[in-house]
Amino acid sequence: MILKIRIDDRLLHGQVAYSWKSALSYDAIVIASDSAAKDEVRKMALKLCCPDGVRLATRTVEDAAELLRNPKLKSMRVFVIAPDPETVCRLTGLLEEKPPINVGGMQMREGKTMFSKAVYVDSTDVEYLDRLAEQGYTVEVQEVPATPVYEYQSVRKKYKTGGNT
Amino acid sequence: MRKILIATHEKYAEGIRAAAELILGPQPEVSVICAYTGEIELSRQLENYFSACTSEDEVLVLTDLYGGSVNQACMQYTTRPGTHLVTGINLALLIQILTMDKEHIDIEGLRAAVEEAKNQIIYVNEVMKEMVTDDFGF
Repeated sequence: MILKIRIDDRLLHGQVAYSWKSALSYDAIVIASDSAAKDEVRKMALKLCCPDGVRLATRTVEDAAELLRNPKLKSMRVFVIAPDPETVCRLTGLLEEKPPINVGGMQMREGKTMFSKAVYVDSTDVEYLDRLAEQGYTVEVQEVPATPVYEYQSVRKKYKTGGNT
Repeated sequence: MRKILIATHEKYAEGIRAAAELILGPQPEVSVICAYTGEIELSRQLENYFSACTSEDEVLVLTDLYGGSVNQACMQYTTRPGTHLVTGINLALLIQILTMDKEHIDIEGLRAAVEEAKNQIIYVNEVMKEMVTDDFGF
């Protein structure tokens, strides 16, 4: 079963891997990223951050969905990571499960504005997050388990700039 | 109380402390001696440090190079009760030590941390040759 889908543009990094490991006690990580899946060195770097005893796969969105639909994963506790809301929308479109979505980390880039402390978004990101919320997914904004969790709509209301066309 | 002294050639001590503090936050029990950077000679710096310690203080001294002069100078203090010396430190070892018991030097824990830190020195290219990045056979 999928415990959570996390949005994080750094995908897997040490602190996040270990803090969510103790909170969720997952035993597998599936990273859905078309660009990372095609980058052998990136995949190795991600592997270094994977806690011992946890299975890891970095696959394209389509391949990740296929893996996640595999009956063998039903009995595993799976933590899914994707780089951005658009990728999550494509992925969830291919899945039957409706796990909670964790908006974890999106770094500052040109054209993005602050959504929460660790999350910077542009209008496209917000559009896809809105879509996920409308589809009935639980969307929460939280960096790591030790930091406060905010319900998406409450952060969305406070977010004035950039979100509206 | 357990105190830690990092003594190295030049500013390595200052730098490795800064790196550890970036990860773990301020570490008030850690002092540094950056040898050969100022006017006070190393033996005097060590004397000053140890004379400020009380007899209850356990001191863990960390140096950079086994055959180096800083480590040689620190060896003089291993006869002081409760003083332990480890050389060849790296950030993995320092982080491990800083997350151990702060009251006393945990000698068994220190032995294990030294062994673990050795394993953290890795020729990454070699590891990459054998790395499996997908753990699902399906």
